[in-house]
Amino acid sequence: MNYLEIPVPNRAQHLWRYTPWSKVHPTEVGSVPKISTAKVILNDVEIKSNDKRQKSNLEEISRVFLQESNNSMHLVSVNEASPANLITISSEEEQAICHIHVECSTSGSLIVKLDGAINWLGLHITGNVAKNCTLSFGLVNDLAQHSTILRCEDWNLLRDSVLEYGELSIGGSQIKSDIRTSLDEVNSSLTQNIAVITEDSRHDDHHIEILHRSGNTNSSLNVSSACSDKGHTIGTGLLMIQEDCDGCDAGQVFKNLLLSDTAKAESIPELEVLSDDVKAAHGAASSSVDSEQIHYMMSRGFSKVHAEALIVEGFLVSCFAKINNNEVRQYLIGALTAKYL
Amino acid sequence: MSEVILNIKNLHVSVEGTKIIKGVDLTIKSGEIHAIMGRNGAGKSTLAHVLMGHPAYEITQGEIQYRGKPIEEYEVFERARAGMFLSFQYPASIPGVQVGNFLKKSVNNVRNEKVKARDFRKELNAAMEKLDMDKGFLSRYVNDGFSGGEKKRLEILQMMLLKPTLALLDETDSGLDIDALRLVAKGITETAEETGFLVITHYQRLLELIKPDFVHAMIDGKFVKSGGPELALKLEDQGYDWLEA
Repeated sequence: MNYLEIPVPNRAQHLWRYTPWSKVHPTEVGSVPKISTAKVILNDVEIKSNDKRQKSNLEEISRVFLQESNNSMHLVSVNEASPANLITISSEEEQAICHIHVECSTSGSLIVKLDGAINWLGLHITGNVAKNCTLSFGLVNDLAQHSTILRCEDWNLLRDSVLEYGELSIGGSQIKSDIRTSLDEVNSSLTQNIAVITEDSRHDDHHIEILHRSGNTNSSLNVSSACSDKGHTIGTGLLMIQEDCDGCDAGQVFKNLLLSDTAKAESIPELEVLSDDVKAAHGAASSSVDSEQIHYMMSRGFSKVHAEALIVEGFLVSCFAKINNNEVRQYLIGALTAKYL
Repeated sequence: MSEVILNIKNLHVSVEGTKIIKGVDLTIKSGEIHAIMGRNGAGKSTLAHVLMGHPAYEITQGEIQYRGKPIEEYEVFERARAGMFLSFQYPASIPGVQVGNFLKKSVNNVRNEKVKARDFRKELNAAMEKLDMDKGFLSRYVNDGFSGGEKKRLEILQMMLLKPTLALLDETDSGLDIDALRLVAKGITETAEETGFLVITHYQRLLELIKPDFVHAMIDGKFVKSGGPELALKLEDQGYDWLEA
């Protein structure tokens, strides 16, 4: 189905309830502009897009739109020869699109950084983690404060593979992220840890789908958000365990720290479980900073402002504590700490 | 002549309209160790918290002077920077903040001297050794997942590094086995000689190790009896009923 054949989604749809499609479309919803390719630097060397991207199986509006606006793709292979791959995505144009396809055929790590002052960025990341491989993936969104970002990710995990995923989302003003992971084969495992800071009037909408398509697969999702000023954080999670997938262990938690009276956080974790013998848990919690934590820090000589900043930083840092890969974990924590310097 | 660090006159304190402390007088000079004993709910911890400036407690009458100045003039963090330290009975956990960083920042906040990183490490290592603490402690998050004993040791480690003028220890001995208690007592006795201590406890066993100069029995928000170490022995032996007779 072409983009123009897909009806513009209305807000009754779970995926588009909080961020209308028109807010993240770069022009008018009824048009498909041709948008240039973003600059992709891999380990200090610019790489060119040279592969036509495969057509997505999903007839989901943002994925179809991104493909029709720019059909090129950057292929990135994760291999042992390159232990820490750092990709920086930026553009000098007002609008740009980038499609990165990751093939992980040996265990390794990959860090993606979104950088620069672009007005609108469309980003699609797809990836396969091959049998018995572990991919440690980190993404830092550090775009300029005015940027709008439309991001889709689609990951497939094969037998005995592991994807440990960390994201720090601090850049841009209007962000829509739709991240989907399919645990296709037995004993595959996903740990997904996402830290979000919304301040000023930043609007950050994460939709995260995790599909267990095979038995004895594990997933763990942790989204931690710190919301201040008039910031608005949205986290919608959809955890699905298909039929005949016994032995799955899945959980998702959304935690929000509300740091002002005008900040908003909406967390909607959903479960759809069609197998009997599984563990599936979900939860959401929102609160302000604990006054006992502040008092404890102040009793050690921290001013109230400093105490609160450290507690918030710690809350977000602890989101990344479960990432085993030291380079990815330290990169994410370093980017977060730099934000608070 | 020893300096008067803390001077409390006719202190009355309420929490959400409920009177907890109903007229306490206390003077602590540098180098003195004062112990407060009393039943649960007597107001011991309230006294420690009000001294440290916990916002939930309201002073309704009386005054507290710290080193000659009314304590109300100080915010909580200013009290810490002026040399007051509270070892919490239930210290808050701060996930994501590593103990090592927290200690370094606390020392920089509180001590009126620029401590070089190398000197800090040396001092930290020595204090941790005295408290039999593993180096792995430093990379853990503050009180996050700590056992009761680990929390108390971290409190004492902080006290040793912050070198307070007045240390308030709120049931630092509760929940400790005898070996941990000895280490905690060692930490207290090795803190600066001129530090004044206010030690809140239920048990004589800590006082055997740190030897208080004064013991105060607290009932229903008041000191009903003050004396020397022999009072602690009598309270341990006979309880508090005889003080109410």
